[in-house]
Amino acid sequence: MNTFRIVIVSLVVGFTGCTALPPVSQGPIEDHDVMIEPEVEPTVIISGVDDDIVVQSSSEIGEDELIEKPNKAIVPVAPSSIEAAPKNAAVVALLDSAKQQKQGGELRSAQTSLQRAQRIAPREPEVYYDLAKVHIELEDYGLAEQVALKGVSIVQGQPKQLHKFWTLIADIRTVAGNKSGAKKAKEIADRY
Amino acid sequence: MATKKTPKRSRRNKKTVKPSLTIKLFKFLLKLMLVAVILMGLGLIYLDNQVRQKFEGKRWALPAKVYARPLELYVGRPLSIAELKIELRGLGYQFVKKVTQLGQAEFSSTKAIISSRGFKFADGVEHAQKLILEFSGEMLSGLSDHRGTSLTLIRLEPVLIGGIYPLNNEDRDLIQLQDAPQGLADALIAIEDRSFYQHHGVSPRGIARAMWVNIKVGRFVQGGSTLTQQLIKNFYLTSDRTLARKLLEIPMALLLELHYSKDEILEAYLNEVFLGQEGARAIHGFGLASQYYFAQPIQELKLHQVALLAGMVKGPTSHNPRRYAEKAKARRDLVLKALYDTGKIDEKQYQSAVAKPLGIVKQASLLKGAYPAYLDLVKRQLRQSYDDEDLRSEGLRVFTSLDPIAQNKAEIALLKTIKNLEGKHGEKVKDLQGSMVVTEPQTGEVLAIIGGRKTRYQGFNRALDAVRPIGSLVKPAVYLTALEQGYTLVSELDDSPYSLAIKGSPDWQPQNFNHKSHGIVPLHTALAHSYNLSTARLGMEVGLDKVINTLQRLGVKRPIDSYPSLLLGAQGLSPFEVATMYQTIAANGFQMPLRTIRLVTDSVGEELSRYPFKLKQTISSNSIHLLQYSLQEVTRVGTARSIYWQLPEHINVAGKTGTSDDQRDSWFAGFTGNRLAVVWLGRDDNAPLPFTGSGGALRVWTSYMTTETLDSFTSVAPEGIEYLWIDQESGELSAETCLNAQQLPFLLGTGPTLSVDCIGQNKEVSPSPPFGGWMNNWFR
Repeated sequence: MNTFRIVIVSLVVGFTGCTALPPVSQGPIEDHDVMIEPEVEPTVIISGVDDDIVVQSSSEIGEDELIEKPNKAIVPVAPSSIEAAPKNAAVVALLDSAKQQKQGGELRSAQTSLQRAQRIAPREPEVYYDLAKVHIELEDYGLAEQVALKGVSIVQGQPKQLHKFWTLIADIRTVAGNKSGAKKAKEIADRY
Repeated sequence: MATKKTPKRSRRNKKTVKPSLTIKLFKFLLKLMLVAVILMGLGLIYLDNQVRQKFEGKRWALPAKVYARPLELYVGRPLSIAELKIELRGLGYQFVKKVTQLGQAEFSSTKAIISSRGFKFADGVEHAQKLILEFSGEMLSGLSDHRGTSLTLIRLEPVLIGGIYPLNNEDRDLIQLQDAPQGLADALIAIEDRSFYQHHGVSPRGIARAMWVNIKVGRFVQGGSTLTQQLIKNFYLTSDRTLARKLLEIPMALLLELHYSKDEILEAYLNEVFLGQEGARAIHGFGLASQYYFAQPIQELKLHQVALLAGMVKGPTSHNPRRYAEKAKARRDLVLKALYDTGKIDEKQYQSAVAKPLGIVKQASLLKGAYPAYLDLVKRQLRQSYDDEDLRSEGLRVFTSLDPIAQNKAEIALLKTIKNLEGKHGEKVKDLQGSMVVTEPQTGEVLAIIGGRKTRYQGFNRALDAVRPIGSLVKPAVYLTALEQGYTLVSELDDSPYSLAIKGSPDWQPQNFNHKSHGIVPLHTALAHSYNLSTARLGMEVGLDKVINTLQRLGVKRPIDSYPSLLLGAQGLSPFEVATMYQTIAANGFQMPLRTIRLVTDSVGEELSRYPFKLKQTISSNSIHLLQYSLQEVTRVGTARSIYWQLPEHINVAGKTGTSDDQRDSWFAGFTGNRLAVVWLGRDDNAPLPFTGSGGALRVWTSYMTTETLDSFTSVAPEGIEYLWIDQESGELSAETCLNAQQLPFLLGTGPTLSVDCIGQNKEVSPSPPFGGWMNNWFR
């Protein structure tokens, strides 16, 4: 068994050495959940319950091993901006119907369409921009501003979008009667 | 008769003696008769009023119906054929070789053809149509109608997951006469009341025939009641077999027929009749019975199925096809024979129907009642805005965000892992319990809830009501408080033994899990490895009240005791509360109420109330970014690093393990870009467990996530954040090419100012492909 383990361990170590980052010493790992015995069990493929093949360890893997992959990936650096993926046709359709519904005064329907779009594409800035505008029409300025701020958190690093969202926030604050807040938002918008 | 008349005669004799008295008596009798006639008239008017009022008013207390989210279909949607099958099973679709009618589906290896039933949503109608779905891998790659025209977006009908029943526990799905297959009315009339369309409510011929049959058999086998009388009996009168009831039945039947058409009466009958019992719930009407016995809407039933239901009217308990299959089949075949005898079906139809098996579904496949824990939360949220009476009687429709596919996967992951743990630890994990909450981190919608390992059991809902110490799950709140107060990820923390004097109590002396101290450690390392000593010291430095305030801003509403042990997770929270807390972290500092209900409409689909996407930023995006980084370190190199033995490296995950004192509770809370899940394992009697958070709950979590199509968690670095290369030993500035260098985020201007000498060139970081290109992608 021991020989078997050593073979498996060296296979695992060798494999990960080939695929992960170059060696970066982390010092010994000491966990809240400290484990004693190095123990790696072979990975086997068993057939799952739902027609799918599930890859699963024959026993347990996890913190129980002190065996480390020598090059554990460090946390990837967050990008300074993520351009929204091209819009899915379904999202385009929902945004379009929301626009029509809003123009026709059907604000609740517009809200429903936008929330459907949000579930499909939660990182699509236009969803939040349009949703904030619907909340302005519904005179829920507090929520309109929060939705717009959510948009800001999504469009970080995209000056055009940031300008658009901060201008929207300035507008919301103006209609809500928050003059100083509106001025601040306008100043931020003007930076982009 | 004759003897009765004798006293009258004698009275008459007296009258001749005193004619004035006779006249008086005659007049009195006349008056009495008049009064009787008036009273009878009044009675009839009253009865008539009763008959009409109940028939024209709201006839039944209709339970609220609760639906899962409708499955949205569009090209590009992550969806496998296996997942589609889970959904369609919940909807009672029949899987066939070739789709010929509504509610059927056929599959090949990369294609599915389904004949959808359509549904009237509050915001529009989805029409029934034949859909052709193409799959490539785990994605829907094509969607078109039967003519091959591609479709942009389609909603399948939502799975009905439960109801909120009237106090009499009668459950029914109302149908209209035209919904029912013609065979159903024919069968009912053939077996129960052949002269239904001829009589006026009561059938003397029917009664005579019944009496003749009874006499022939020598006992009471037929009642001779018309369908109208049966309706009167069930709809207006009590079930007591009293003479008064019998006497009322006939005039009421006549009155009902006087006012309403045969079809109106038949429709009411179809909805009223009792057809089965499931625990306390009484199954009424053919609409629900069709779902209950066949998991299909009534429109889709075939001749042999409607014949079975029509036959059950006689005695739903004694002819229950699940318990007395033979008796039920005999009765069904009798109905078919009656149909044949009355010429409603030909011999071929008769022979083919008689040859069919009963085709009853197992109770378990009905999803109604399959999600008691989720439904429990829905009810609690509904009761905040609706009266119980309205929920039980107005036929409200409640549209939730429950995702039957996610729920199914979560249940399998939890049960499978518990079984594995039992296999490994034996007696030590006897009666192990678990619960789980799954949400969509971007929208705050709750997708799945598991309240215990008996997932269909309506008992103690651990996801909501098991308030257990959260252990290290509290630490993000402590570190977030510190980061907001100016600490950085490389701030040096002291992880040496710690003792705090508390007035009137023994000193508080927390321990690390391994009873070792780690000296001076950088802040991010202390969180990644969940060190207790440094966390306790840090928490006391930033202030208990501040930590409590942070917990509240993360969404915890429960009053929190200000004890130092709070810092290491002595505070109890339910898994649902933990999900609320981590949701705020996943959503970049925006607190959002976890939502189960999207919309409530009345019984015809008019919107009554909605529960829109709401949010409020309570933590700055800069601080939350630093915390999110640290929680990703937990999963990359910290206590939850086993995640990457199963999940692919390119999926970023943030999370935290938690273990309470003496290992009584095993927790994990974590999220990817599109799934947040909180898992708790423990025992109801609070006994210690042979594993920690990572040894138990994390396994459930990972097992679940491997079955989902995951988006990587990626948050854009806010403008106030810069990433710097840091020397891991000293925490000072380093460079990309140096050994032991790690990129860490800092608030602008708060990074270290001193640089260390580059100890050695990390040669492999030089831009030699393939690693260089890969690295550059990440570190651009």
